[in-house]
Amino acid sequence: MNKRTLKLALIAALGLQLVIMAGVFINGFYPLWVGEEIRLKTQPVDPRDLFRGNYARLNYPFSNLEAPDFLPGDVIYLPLTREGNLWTAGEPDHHKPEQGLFLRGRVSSSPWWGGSRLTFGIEALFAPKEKALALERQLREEAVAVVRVAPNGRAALVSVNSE
Amino acid sequence: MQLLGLLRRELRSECRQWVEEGDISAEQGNRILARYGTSLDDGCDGSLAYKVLVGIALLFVGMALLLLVSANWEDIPRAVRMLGLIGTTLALNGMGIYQYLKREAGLGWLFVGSISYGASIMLIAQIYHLGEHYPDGLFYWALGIAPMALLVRSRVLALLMLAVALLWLLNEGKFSPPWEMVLFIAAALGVARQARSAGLNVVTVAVTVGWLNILLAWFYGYPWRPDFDTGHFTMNMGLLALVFMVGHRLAPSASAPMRRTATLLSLWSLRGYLILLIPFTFSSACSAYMKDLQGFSDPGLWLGLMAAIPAALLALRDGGAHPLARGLVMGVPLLLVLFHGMDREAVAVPMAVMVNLLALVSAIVLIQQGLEKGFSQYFYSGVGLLLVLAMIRYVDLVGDYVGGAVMFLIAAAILYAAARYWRDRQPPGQGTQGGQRHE
Repeated sequence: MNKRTLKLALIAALGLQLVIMAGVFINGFYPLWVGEEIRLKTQPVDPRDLFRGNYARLNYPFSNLEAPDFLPGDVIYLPLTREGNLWTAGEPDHHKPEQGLFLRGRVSSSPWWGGSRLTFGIEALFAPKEKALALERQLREEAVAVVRVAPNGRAALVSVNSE
Repeated sequence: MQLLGLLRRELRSECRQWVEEGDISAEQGNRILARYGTSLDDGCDGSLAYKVLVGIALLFVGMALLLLVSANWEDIPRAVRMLGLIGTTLALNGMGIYQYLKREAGLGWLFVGSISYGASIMLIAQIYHLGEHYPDGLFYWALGIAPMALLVRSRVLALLMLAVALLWLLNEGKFSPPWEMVLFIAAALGVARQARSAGLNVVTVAVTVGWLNILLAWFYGYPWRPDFDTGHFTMNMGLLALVFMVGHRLAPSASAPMRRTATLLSLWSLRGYLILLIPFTFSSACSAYMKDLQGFSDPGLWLGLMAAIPAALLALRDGGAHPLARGLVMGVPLLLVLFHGMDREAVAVPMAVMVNLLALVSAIVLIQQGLEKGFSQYFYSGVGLLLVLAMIRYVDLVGDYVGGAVMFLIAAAILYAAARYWRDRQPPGQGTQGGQRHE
């Protein structure tokens, strides 16, 4: 490889890193930018992660999957219905709802203890250790997640408050 | 086996001393060292300490970056945090690229830049609360390092990529079959080839074996979760045979790094074989293994055969390997089929007896080969295996006390015969003073 080609290839490799970082950013930011704000009942659990700092893991009433006809890795759609201030989820489906607001997620297996979970990208709230632990204590019983949902069902977490 | 090739630095140092003291000429010294892919003028020694210390310092800088990210800098606005780290990543890698193009240096900058790149991905995930599938972050991290490692042919970057990819493998492997690992394995092999690195070759082979084990676990548990089963033993027996024979096949290569790779592969597959033998010296382990096998439909059997059959063909054509090793490798496919097709319970005790005998014979051959060829690694492996077997049998007596006593007498007889054999082979006057050659 001559020096000019090597130079271009190295710049392209650096460009790839930039594209990946931009992709991760857009993926996270897109629903915040175009999405509609909704409020979902949630419960913070398990506030620790070695790689990304401290966080509270959020569990939703629709996080655990009981329907047996979904396999890990399947894309699922969850229709949302407004009930007062809060939104609730309907039954998961393989097909995108034709109308109304919905969440797009994936089925993931719980590897070592069996069962399946649904994940939508709104399951982690990062915060300093003390804040994460305090959140877990304060919001153990009742908490509300403020989420923005894009028209294609992708969601992003905005904040977690007491009800 | 070119075990001395693994100690090139020490060999170089010894050779320089011999030349200085007039025992050999510089030309002879260079001819000796050329056999191991080095020379008297090889200047790696002086800079090693510097490289190691700088490498560790850079690793600490990278870890500090990761910790800063993990600290959740709430006081700094989101955009500043994100642009700051992305800017740092670009600056570090940009400096590394500039230095590399200018004078083939700057790998330290690229190393810290690669850690900063991983930290940036995590920071973005942290700012926007992306946590639905955390292994993705590790995947993107390793993916971003791979082209850089290949282009600058850096072993350190390749090892960082493999380490991150391994973390991804262990995490993603819990959720789905990690097929994409093949990308990182290919990239690491590419760097190892370009950088002529035996160590990276062997680490990549080890990671590949781990990857195949996780894929097999998914064969068993698909689509729900990875399940580890007794068929894993079967597959690993086949893989060990293949790695051993590939090592033997590469041994006569003209390339010194390839010969070092061959030595390391043979040595580690031999150690793997000895470790694998030990649990099967217990009849209860044989019984559990045979009981849980899934017959001919077991994917572990088929993957094991996919490795064992090429290994057997290599053994058939390779006259250089010891007859016992060749016989064992050629017999592996048949053994695997027999294990999976037999009446399970009935063969557990005969199997344990056979494995015990095989372990004894292996120990004898290793001791004999170690003495005959002067390979201390073989000699001590054989002695170590005998001692481990004796200890196991002391704790877990074969049948009864008499059985245990017989086993100890056999082991004692082997050791005594080996000692006599060694003494008889020494030239006159060295019978009790000459030593095992240490490599």
